[in-house]
Amino acid sequence: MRRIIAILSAVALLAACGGEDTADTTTTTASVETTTTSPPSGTTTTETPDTTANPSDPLVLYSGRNENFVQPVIEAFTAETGIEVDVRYAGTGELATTILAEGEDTPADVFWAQDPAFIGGIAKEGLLGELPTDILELVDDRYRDSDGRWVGITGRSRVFVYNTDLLSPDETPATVWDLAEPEWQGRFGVAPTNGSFVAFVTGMLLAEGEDRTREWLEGIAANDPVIFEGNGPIVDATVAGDLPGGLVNHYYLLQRVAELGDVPAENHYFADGDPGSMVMAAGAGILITSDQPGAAADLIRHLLSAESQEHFLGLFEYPLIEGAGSPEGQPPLEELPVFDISLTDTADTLEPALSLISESGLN
Amino acid sequence: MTTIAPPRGTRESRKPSPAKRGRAPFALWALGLLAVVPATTPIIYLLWTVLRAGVTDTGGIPPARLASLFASTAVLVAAVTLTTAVLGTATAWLTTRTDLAGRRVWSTLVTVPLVIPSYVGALAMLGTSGNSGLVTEALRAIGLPGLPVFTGFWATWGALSLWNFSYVHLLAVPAIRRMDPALEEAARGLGSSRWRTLRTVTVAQLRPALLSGSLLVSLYVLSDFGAVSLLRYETFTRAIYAQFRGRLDVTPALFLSGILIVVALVLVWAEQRSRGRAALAATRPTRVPERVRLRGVGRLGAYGFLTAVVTGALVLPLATLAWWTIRGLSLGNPVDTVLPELARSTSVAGGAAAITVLAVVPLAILTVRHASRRTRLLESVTWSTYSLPHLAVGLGFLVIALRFVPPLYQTVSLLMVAYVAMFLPQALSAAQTGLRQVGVSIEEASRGLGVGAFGTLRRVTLPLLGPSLLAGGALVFLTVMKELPATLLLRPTGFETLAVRIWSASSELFYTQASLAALALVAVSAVPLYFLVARDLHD
Amino acid sequence: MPDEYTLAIRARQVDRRFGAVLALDGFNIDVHAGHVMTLLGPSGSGKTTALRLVAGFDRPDHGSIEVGGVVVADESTFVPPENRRVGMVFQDYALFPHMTVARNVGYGVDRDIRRRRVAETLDLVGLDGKEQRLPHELSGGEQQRVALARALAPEPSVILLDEPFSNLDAALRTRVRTEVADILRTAGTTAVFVTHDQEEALSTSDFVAVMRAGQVVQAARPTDLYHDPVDEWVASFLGDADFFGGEAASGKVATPVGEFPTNLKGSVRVMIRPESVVVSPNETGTAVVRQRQFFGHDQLVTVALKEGQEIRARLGPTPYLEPGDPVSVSVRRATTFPAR
Repeated sequence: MRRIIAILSAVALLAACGGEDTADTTTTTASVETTTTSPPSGTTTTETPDTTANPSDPLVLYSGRNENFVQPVIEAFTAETGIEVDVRYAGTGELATTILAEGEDTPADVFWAQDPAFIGGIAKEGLLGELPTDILELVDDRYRDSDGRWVGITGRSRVFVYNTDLLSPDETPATVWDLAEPEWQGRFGVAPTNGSFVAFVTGMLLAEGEDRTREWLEGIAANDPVIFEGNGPIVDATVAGDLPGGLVNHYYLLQRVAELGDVPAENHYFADGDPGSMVMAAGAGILITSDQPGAAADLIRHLLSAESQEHFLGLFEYPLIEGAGSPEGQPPLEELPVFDISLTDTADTLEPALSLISESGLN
Repeated sequence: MTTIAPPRGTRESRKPSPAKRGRAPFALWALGLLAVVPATTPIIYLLWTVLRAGVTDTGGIPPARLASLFASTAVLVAAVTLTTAVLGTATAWLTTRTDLAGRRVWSTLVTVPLVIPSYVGALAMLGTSGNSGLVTEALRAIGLPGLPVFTGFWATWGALSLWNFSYVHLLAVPAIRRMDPALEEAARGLGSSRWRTLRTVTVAQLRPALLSGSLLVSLYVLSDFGAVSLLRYETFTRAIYAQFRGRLDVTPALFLSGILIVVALVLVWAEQRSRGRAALAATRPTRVPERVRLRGVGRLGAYGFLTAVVTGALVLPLATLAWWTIRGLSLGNPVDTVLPELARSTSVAGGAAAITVLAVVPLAILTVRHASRRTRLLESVTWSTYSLPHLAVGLGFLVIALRFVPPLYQTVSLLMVAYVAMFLPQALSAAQTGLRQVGVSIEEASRGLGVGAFGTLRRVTLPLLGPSLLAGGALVFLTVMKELPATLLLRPTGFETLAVRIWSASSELFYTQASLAALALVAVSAVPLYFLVARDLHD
Repeated sequence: MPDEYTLAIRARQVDRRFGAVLALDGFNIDVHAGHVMTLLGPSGSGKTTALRLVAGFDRPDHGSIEVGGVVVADESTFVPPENRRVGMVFQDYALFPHMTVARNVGYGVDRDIRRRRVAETLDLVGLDGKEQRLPHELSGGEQQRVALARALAPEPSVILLDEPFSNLDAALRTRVRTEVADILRTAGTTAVFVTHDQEEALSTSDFVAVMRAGQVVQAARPTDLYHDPVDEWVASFLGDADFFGGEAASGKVATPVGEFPTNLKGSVRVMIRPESVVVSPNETGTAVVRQRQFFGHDQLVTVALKEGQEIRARLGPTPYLEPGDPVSVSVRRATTFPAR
């Protein structure tokens, strides 16, 4: 009996202490270096890393992008700079809610969102600091916050992915408004809690106003949509033939094709002026409460470095720095259908969008 | 001999009970409160949020939506509770009272699905069905059309039933064993038909066990988060999480959590009431009842039924998970995160189990040896956190830590506090049973021989309590290993457990990672489960 | 020597209430050192409560309890059980199931003298050789002896036994009873038994205290108690008795079975025990045998008297009587009580 008590106590102690240390998901390699690293081509380094913060404290990144996507880039960052990064992966909306709830005590240094609306909402609350100009200059002003509080890292277009065995190209919805029509009842998928969907609704609100947006959302909700937690499952279901199609971002299908070879599915782009063709930026910003703004800025610079952007290209997202090219088989960014709204302004319509989505019953 | 105990409220004997020792020492109360009070603060906070929001402003949720959530949740709870009651009683009866071959093996097999958390089962279900699923591929290989993807109400109903009915089985087996054939014979002798006897006498004897089992299952269904999300059925928990993820304000999520808590408490209260009327207090019957002989179609049907249940709940999911793992590994998908996550899950579960077991000893002594109205109140408070949906409890702890105890926010310590709060009652009930078996006269004997209270605890009570405490700890370990929603919300950044990995990987449909993590979870959970079940079932 | 110093236990005006139940109501008792005292009474009379109060497992509401001249419980004092040096044998023995016989017995003994005392006590109870057994490996009678040994080993001033023979079957009971009484006498320990079995009380004790409704109704030596009970209830409780009403005058009272001397005056009740009644077959007798129970070594005969009342007689195996036989009845001894 004593043995059992001893063992149990030991386990309790171990667990209580050991938990914190195993918090790293990234591989930790070199010791901390405080010298400036050679800048990747395309950036000019005008600042040295901030050495007032304890260099051995890891940088905390809240990432709305998923782990498989983010991990390699982070690892490269740590390898180059020696700065360790703790990443918290969750939905963009959840992370935004968390940051808001945490307020000044937030442990996050950098927030990398999947869409402009939520990060815009955080910026609107004054929680993001202004980014260094050299970072802002790397990206076209269409794909960053007009006040410089967040910068787009990659671009993506909203599309309607569809299964070619189940739908011919003419049978795809001509406009996003069609999805509220009875012919689409029960035949499409959406992910209403996903950041990109929310951003898309904010865009619709900006362009079309509350009444039309509410009408569409209620129509969708009443049309038996198949609800998913994320975009990936929509695409997988479509590829498998379990679903005719759904509203997602363009790169998911391309990734599947790269993985599985030919699949019976295509991306359908909506037309100019259609909210369904919205092109968004996945943005990142530095929390104003961060005690390592220098290292945080370095991280963002790394995300906008040529090699990182090349990596994103390989995952079929649109890199946003100059001269980085476009994903294979995709039209260049400028030639995508245009839905002309200011991404910065989507922050203003975030709250109404969330309320409308909730009230419609989708959420 | 079987007696029917008098209903509550009547004095049962005029003799003063020597089993109670009068007022408890202050130290015991202090320890007991220390274990219980931190657990209840989130509940109070959540309930307060509900009250503050008022009845008119439903936290920003349209009343129509609230109503539809109520309806869909209620339907699921009712359906699953009923199904598991029937399933669990059937398997229990078949493996206890008939002459089927290999009864013990069947009984054990039927309990093993407890290692499979419902979200893993749901994952397996998804992986079995649909155009990319295992069974579809198998069917296509022999030229049959594939299965449609299993989602929605029927899939959720099936998943939650399959991976929860074992609780009813576990409770029904000892109840059936304790049944006295004399009661049934008396009824038959008085002219009651077999069917009427079954209804009025047999089921009546099983009623307390079935009620406990049903309460357990309905609370699990209320609390379930992973399965309903994966299988896409709108319930309260899914809505809570969606609100938490999809809104900038935490209030709607908190409000819904508060409502959910109220519903759970109502269920608990209802079960207490319906159980209180008359209790059948049975000791070992004087005769073992004759085994029911099953012949021909009945026998085949029984074997078929048991095989179907075990296949659906155990074989198919494990096979699916293994298939996805192997397939993914052969495609070269990365799985290097599984080992550290396994380590984290195991250490955190072990730590929570250890702390719970230690915390539970003073509480058990307080409620068993010094029973009074106040200790009963303390006991009810302790059980209140247990019945609550974990997502709600996790959210409550999150908000409380954030607003009042920031140093605890996003730490393993907070996670531990939440686990202990939620699962303490499991260990408590094991400890209480063990303490009752030790009996107060043994402790008095020790005191009479000159050994003080603490010495008695150390030399007599604790050694005898050992097996029960271990059982309680094993149960807590098992439950913490499987826990998902609270872990998701409260974990430190980067602290992924197996459960979290399964969840996040399956949300993005990285099936290889999810399946391997699921297999690891199941394997580790099998150890304490074996320890628990082997003890209880074949007693 | 003053009385106080030979009193092993003294209880004065002890009350104990459990909710609505008054278990002890002005309980008084003196137990002299070296004596065997039995608390005898029906279920609910408070005897077990009294025992537990002496042991220290419960606390009186009022009154005082002294053990060996030391106050262990009163309005302002309470000595916990482990400090009272009072041994206790429980009804269910309460042996520590996870310890051997030797460790059980030695549990309350100081480490330095433990081996010696364990050996001595086990020898005393006749269990040497069984030191390494576990309790569940022993028979009921052996378990009981271990319980006794365990209580005796620390050499307590007083040993309390709560219905210690009730778990044994009838055949074993008498033998074990005698053995235990002998062991206690040899050890010279003061002992207090609690029982509802009057046969056990009368046969094993130096003194018996009869309890009813939380009070001691009469405490006396067994013979005195049996032949001179203080009231009807005690009389019936201690053994079979038949009662007749009568008027006492001039030192005598007349009953259908004869005249008896008495100091009382007025309405009285006359108690006659069956063993004091002699029944002989008599063709001219006015009494008739109504019923006969034959026990082998004795018989209990119920006789209907001429006036209609019945009286029981306990006789040896002879004479052989049948219902309907005419007999004559004479009584050797009777006790009178005032009628209520």
